[in-house]
Amino acid sequence: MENADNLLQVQHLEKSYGSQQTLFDVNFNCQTGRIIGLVGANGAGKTTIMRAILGLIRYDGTIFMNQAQLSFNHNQQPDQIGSLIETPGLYPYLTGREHLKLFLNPLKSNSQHITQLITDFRLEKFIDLKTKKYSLGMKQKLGIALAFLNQPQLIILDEPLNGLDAQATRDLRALITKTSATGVTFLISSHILSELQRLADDVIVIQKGRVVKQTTMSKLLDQSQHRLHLKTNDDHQAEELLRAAHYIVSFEDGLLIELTPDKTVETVVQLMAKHQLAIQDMRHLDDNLETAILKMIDEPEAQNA
Amino acid sequence: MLNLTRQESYKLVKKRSTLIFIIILVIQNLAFTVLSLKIAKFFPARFLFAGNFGTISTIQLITIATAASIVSSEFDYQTLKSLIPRTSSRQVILISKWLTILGYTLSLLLLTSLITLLAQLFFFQDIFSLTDTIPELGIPIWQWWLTNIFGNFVNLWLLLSLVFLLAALFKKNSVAITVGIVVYFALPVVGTLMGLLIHKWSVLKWNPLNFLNYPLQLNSPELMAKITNLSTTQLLIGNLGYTILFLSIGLFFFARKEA
Repeated sequence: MENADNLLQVQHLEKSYGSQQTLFDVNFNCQTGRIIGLVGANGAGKTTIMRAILGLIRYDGTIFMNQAQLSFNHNQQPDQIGSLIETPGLYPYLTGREHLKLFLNPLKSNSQHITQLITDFRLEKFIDLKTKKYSLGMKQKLGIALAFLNQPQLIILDEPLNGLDAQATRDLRALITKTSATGVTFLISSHILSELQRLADDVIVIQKGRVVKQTTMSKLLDQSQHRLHLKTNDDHQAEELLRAAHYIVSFEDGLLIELTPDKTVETVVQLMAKHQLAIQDMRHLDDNLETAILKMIDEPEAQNA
Repeated sequence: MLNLTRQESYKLVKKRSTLIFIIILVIQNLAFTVLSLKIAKFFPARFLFAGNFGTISTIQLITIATAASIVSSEFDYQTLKSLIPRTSSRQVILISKWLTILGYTLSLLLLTSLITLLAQLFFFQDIFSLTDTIPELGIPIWQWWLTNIFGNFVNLWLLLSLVFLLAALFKKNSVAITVGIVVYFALPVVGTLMGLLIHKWSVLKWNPLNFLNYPLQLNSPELMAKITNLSTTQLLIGNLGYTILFLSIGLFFFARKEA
């Protein structure tokens, strides 16, 4: 069970608010240096899991970080987790720079790191303004920069893209990838699944307080549906040939063919060539993360089977 | 703990209200100095001197409000969720706030005491000397002055411990500030009634409000002992005991707060 590569281990995590249970026997591991996407519908329990890891709420079950157990009110590893949970908590009477100075741990970081964060997150234009004057995007950028401060081993970001423009989103993606390469682990929740698909190495799918699936992004996408959109000089004949060869085909401005391990692009092309049908256009259509997740949430039992 | 106390002090210093309060105290101190020089009949210098020219009461109000907001603002600004993962426990967060307010209280008292001393040195040397004896108490003015500051300081911390407790319980500073100030102003109003009740039911002398009479009893030990039914030493120990009790209860509840 103990794996030295596992920075974080969540075991049998349960949480109730009064009589309302929100987490049910949640188990997952986060490996060192990986970017883990925590996905699920609103109210699935993503933020509650993050809050439990941070010790912000009481919970049942055990959470280990670096093989040491975390608890609600006893933190043996202060500053080892950087976080942004929901909206950034900022003091309106302090500037952005003062926030960074305030939370700087001199034992782990220095003022050069602050300068670097200001540059990396492009905070220069507003870093010396009081945060009460910040827009949502500015607050979000500062909140994320604070999560990166003091070089934590684990960074938890809950909906980090809220309020960020395209440039800031791209910058953040690059920074997360760069920081992860240095061995920092990320646990990220986001509704923008296309971004998460580009970023995350692993995916944990949460539905109604339960882990539906934990897998790698590549495996998840590999297991999802792959289709081929095909146009020939005679689509009707092509359709008949494909059906006769037991391909699943639908007609949609050309032919939509479902690919399987034994029914590949190559076999389709060979079949068309054998019957002297000319291919005019061909495109690969793969499910994206969003489609894969939606299917999983619709049919969790099938996925677990 | 040291780092957290440094952080709390930094936040306090950066608040605009901190500077405004200091300005108010300095202006009050100087204004009463001038009034005492100009209208000595209504503003007798030695009595005003003993209360740091009225600023001790102002400091009490300021620190009640500041103590309430130093706790509740973490809930209001949702900053507790940033603080908790950076610290070893919730208790450490609250204790660092106590220490910050302790330092703040002492700094304000020191500032106003210094101004008071300078005022005496420059403007009231001809009117009274620090070594003059107060006939009613039989002690020199300097001793009366220090006793007054000490008594009010002890009393203030009893109030502040209650404010810290309420701020931890209710998350809203308005509740803590209101109760703190109401208790502060309630004593003169209910004092007589409380004295009568204590005479009738002796056990009531142990209620926390009675211990707020400590500074008064320091100035008039015999008279006040008849009202409080407690010795001055008992009042001091009671003040400290209640302060520790309220702080501990506040700590207990704060340690269980979810963020």
